[in-house]
Amino acid sequence: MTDSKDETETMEVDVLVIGGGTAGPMAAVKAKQANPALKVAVLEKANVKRSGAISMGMDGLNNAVIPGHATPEQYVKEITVANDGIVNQKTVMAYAQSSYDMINQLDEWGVKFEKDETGEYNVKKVHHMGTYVLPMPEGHHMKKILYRQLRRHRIQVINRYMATRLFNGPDGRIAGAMLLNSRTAETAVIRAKTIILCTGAAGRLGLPASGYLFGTYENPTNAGDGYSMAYHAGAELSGLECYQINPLIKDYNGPACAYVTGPLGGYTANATGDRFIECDYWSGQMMWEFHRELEGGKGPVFLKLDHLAEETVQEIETILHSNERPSRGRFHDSRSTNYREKMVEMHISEIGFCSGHSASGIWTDEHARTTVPGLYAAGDVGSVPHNYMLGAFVYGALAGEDAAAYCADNELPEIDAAEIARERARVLAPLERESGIPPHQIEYKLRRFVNDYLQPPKVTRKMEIGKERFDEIRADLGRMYAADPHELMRAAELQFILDCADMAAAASLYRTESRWGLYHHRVDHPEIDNENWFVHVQTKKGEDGMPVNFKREIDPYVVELDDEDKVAYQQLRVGSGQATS
Amino acid sequence: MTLSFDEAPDMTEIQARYASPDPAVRRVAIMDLIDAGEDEAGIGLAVSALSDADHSVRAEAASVLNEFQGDAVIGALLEALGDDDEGVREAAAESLAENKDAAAGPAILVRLEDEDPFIKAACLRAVRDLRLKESQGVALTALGHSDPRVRREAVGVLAYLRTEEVLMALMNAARKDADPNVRRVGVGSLIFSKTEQAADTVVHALGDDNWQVREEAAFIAGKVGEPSAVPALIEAMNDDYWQVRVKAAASLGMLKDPAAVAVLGQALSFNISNLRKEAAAALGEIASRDGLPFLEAASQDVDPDVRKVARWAIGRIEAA
Amino acid sequence: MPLASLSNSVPVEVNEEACIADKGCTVCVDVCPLDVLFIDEDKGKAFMKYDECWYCLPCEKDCPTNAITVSIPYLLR
Repeated sequence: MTDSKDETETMEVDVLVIGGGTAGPMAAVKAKQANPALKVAVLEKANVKRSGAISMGMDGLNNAVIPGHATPEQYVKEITVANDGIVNQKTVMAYAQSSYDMINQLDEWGVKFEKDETGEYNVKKVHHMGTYVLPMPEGHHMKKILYRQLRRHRIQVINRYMATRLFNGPDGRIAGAMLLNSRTAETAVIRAKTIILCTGAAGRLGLPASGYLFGTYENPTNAGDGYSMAYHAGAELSGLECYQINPLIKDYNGPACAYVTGPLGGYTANATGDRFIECDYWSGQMMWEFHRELEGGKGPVFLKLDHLAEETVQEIETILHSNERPSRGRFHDSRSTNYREKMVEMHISEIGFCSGHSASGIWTDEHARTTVPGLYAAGDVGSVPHNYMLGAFVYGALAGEDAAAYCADNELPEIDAAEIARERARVLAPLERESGIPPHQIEYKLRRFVNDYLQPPKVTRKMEIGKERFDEIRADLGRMYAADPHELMRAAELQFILDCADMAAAASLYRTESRWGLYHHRVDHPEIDNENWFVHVQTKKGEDGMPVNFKREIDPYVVELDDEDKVAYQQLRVGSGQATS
Repeated sequence: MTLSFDEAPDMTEIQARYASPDPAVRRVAIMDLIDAGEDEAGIGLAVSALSDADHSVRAEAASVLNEFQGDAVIGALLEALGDDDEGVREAAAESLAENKDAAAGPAILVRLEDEDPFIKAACLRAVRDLRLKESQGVALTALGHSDPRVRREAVGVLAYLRTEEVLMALMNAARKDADPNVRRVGVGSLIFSKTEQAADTVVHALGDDNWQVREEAAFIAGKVGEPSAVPALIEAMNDDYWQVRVKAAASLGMLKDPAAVAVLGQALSFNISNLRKEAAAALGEIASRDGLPFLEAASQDVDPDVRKVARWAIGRIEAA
Repeated sequence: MPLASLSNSVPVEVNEEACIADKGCTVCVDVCPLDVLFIDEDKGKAFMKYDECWYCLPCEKDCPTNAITVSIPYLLR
């Protein structure tokens, strides 16, 4: 009972971009611009017109490094501080130096940034040290603009196919990918000289408090595909213990939008209506303070807008209810929440991997290269911390340009036919079965365990039990049953999620200290331990197919933190050990 | 075996569907032009669809044309600004506003001569980003138009040009326009001028009846950077709207006149923490020792942002 | 392993009067990131086949005839 064709079809390209959300289209366009003779294809599980984390647009940039408002050096310092020193500064610097050119490129393409009356970018000050916020009140056109560029550059777009695994050539270089059509269960192989993974966050790792599988902070189609595929291809991943956790409107998956409401006078408050966040920059430390207030006597936490003027509230409603998460107004209506009258209850999100907001990703250098030759990663799935949307564009561009150069020097590697056959059988197995456990049931159970055992504050014994539960679920995969090609897609995603859960547990257990506030708060190792753990924690696939971890030294800084920065940084720290109650 | 994955709709097939008597079928055919990958034929069909009998097909054509480029596209969209249907006109105006190609300028300026206020405003908006010197004259004339939409876009065109020649006209709009929105963008447009005249206009606008005009003026005063605005800003620290006071405090910080220390110090006991935070920052910028007693108190504020800024300000004063 | 079915109320509602899927339109199906919207071939109308909604709204915003209304899924309403 399979719709799939008996034979696996193949095609050949120079550059295969996997994921057509934010970084992906930029990578494809820049590869094509670098060498118009190259065959460039964008593979997209959904449809590039509305896919990825910014399907409905974005309401602003929060890390714009614009001359006159901030310098690359200042930005690198801030990210270093926000990430407790665990950064490859060269990668952050590469972003910061290209940030302004990328803004101008997007402006030229028609992205509408907020400008003053004379047409200059209207940069807003939100943080204390530098000025990085550039609003985009009409940012809902973003995907349309990216699609336009894909069309104009004649880039081949392959919609409704997902990649399930990558193939390596005989010498280990990247060689191609297995594809699965989500509507027909047809499989195909694309041979490629280079692959750029732009598959977004691992957004379906934790289960939202509502229990609804798809009510996630990240677009739930971002199931951790790239993390799992890079892992199986032998690439190194980094910072997987530094989870993504974000402040949210309670039960609704929309962010608090401090960057929208902040410049207009709104803020995050406790039950008495007062600010409580000491930390200056979006970081695990800020999330720790948020978590503490949420659970404390002055909790829960609220978004406070009820002190603003009617005209300002209207402006906020227009921006928040038309970009990024437009169903927000509808959610508030159903709970009779009016910004004018009461504060909006907030909560924290489920856990996930995402370098865009924290630092968990596939290890890349300042050219977006992973440790596998020919394989690149950009956007939320890469490892450059706090990269957000603009970083996805910048790293997409870096990856596209570097991949184009790589193609000139390398031939297309062969792929072992037996490996293709094995992968095809693995992917299609749930559809071949007559009966069994549907993927959504296994997914619910897996993600509930992720919440029960991996969600911080982290406890060693709990995480060990979690690993046992994940092993049992892995054993259940042999009984997974997909009734149709759509469920088969979910079954393939479930296996990505399971890989991510194993990697999250392993990396979290490996780093026996606390760091990054809530992101890696280990109750039984409550102190920061710079002597032993001022390193990156890396993850790779071991001989037995399970994750192995090791330390990677921090590259010498390109921007030294002076004493004043360090003091400012220490003063912002709330002793994490004292506040577990 | 090779796989092409080619699913782009075929132009001949789209043309066949466009021949349907059913307007919904024709509309879907026009939508599909975006994916067809054939620019010339696509533009041809979309342009002819701008004269379709059905308004929903025409509106679709006007937005689809935004995906294509060239003189024929601009010409057709300019024509569509005069459509009977509002949806078509809006779609055409939006597509034109997104054009970045300066070569379209002359055609837009010709269309701007139309008397219809919607067409005039849309054409002004369409030339704004192109920053054409030739648009200065028409924009100056348009400032006298009876329709506020036209005047608002005219201010935009002039402000984008950033020339001192148009300063007088912009100051006039800021002071005298009957429409508060035009006055507000008029004040905002003065951001590029560092002259005393501009500062005088900003001071005038600090007394505007509309609080959003006053808020903009309080913000712009610091950017213009003329010390002559200080007394009016001190006055604005008593505005009925705290939003105006927040902006006035920030501008007083930028102008660094110690005369503002007392009023900023008093602001540290207002009940809105956004204002306390801005006032503390301004005291740090001014860096006068007279600010210290106020800041010492503020360093114990209930709001952590106020406390942090107050401590930063104290550090700055002591280092000075 | 035996299977049972369970019905769910789904967030995406299609006004069949307004829907022009029978005229060749597939906009909502195309733009859904979760691929949960399908065209009922007998009726020629779009419908939500799987309760896997991110309530992100491209289907509603991009629908050329405003035929779609997305509610917040009941579990989080």
